[in-house]
Amino acid sequence: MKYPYKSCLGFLFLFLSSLSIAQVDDDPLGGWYTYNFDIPYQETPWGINGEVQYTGYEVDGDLNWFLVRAGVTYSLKESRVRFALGYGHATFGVIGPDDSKVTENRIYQEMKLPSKLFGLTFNHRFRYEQRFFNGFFRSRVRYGLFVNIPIGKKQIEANTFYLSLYNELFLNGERRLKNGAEIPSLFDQNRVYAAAGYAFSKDFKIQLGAMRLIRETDDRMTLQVSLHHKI
Amino acid sequence: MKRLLLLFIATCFSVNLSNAQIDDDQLGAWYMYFWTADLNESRWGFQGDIQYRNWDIIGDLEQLLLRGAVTYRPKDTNIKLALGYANITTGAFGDDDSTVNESRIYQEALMPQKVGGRLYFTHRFRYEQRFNEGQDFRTRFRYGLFLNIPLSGKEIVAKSWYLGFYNELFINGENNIGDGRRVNTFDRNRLFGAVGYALKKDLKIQVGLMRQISNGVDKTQLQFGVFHSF
Repeated sequence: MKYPYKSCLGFLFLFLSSLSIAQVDDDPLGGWYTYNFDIPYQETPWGINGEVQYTGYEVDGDLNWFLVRAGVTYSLKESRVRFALGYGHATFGVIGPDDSKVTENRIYQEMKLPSKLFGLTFNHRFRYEQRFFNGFFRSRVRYGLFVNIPIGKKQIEANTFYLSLYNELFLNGERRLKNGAEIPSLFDQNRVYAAAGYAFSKDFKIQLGAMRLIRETDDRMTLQVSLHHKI
Repeated sequence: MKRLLLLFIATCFSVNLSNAQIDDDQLGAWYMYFWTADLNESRWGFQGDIQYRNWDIIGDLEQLLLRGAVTYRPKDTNIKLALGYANITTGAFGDDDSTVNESRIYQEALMPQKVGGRLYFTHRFRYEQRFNEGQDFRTRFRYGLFLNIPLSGKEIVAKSWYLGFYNELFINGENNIGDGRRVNTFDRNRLFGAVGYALKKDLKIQVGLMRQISNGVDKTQLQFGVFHSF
């Protein structure tokens, strides 16, 4: 029996090495805790997808941001492409003892394209965000490539260990903001992520991993714990 | 539903095009020939392209790009992998006739994907190792999403018209390029729209416009492309 993960070991190695050559400065390890849910609406193509996310500059606190978002999803039957239209609310904190906060309201549109390769499903996710802050507006385009690789089984079902990998790239939509601020580069950030996952059932999974987040001026590692729940 | 999908795509593109900052740079023109050759009864093949890029409509050389690669299609998938080499001569803008040269090795993966019957998407990932005259060694990562939509029927066959779109993003692997010079991680983005016509199933022509946004220059160019497979 040939397992999917065996045919992509080379790819895996490349991916993991890109994560580990991190030249992380003296920044402490950050923490990132996520609950992600999907609620399909009966037998229709419609559903709801949402997320609650807390991230800290440190593993045990110092708020980086707190994000709640939810969207309506629609899946195309013949091609399994999924569209989403959603809203999110985020609160950002400043690094260190400073307790000041910035809030954001966000709308987003998303398209998720699954494609099969080596017995695995690679998901391409495109997301366009319109972000409203107090006094200025920003937009952002995101593209991520996601894959889950079951270990010892052909598919992720109950009691399956798996590897979860993704890379996501963020681009700024603006070069100058309404408040006069200049955005020095259209590159916003890149996230590269690897985790070990365990599926308690087909619909409830937990992942423990690390993510490296790179910006033009910043390069940091965070620890990630996430729950993935299909209700 | 297909109409909705088309509308969604059209909206994405038009939003991007209208957001682009207008500048008064002149219109450039790129003349391009792309070829692929799959060896009979084999997973191996070749591909390449010749591109003559002008700062103006013709005569003021921006770049001459020659590229060739060996391709391989792994079993049980529809992807194509390529390993190739390119040589690029870049000319200075305007009356200055000086040029600089670049040699480049690259690896790429092409993932075609059909959506909803007549939307032909291709994801292209490319990783480049670049040896530029007068600069340190550089690498670059590129991701492009290409879309072809036949205008009549569900496939692009002989004598059919189609629309071609793509967006491609370039990300620099290094920020220091030698002698204290720094570049951003964002290198450039290209957004393209064209009308295409298939003379035969394996010979297509495209005429379109491409807008390239980089750190210093936002520029639009006419694009004439010939796509040939044999």
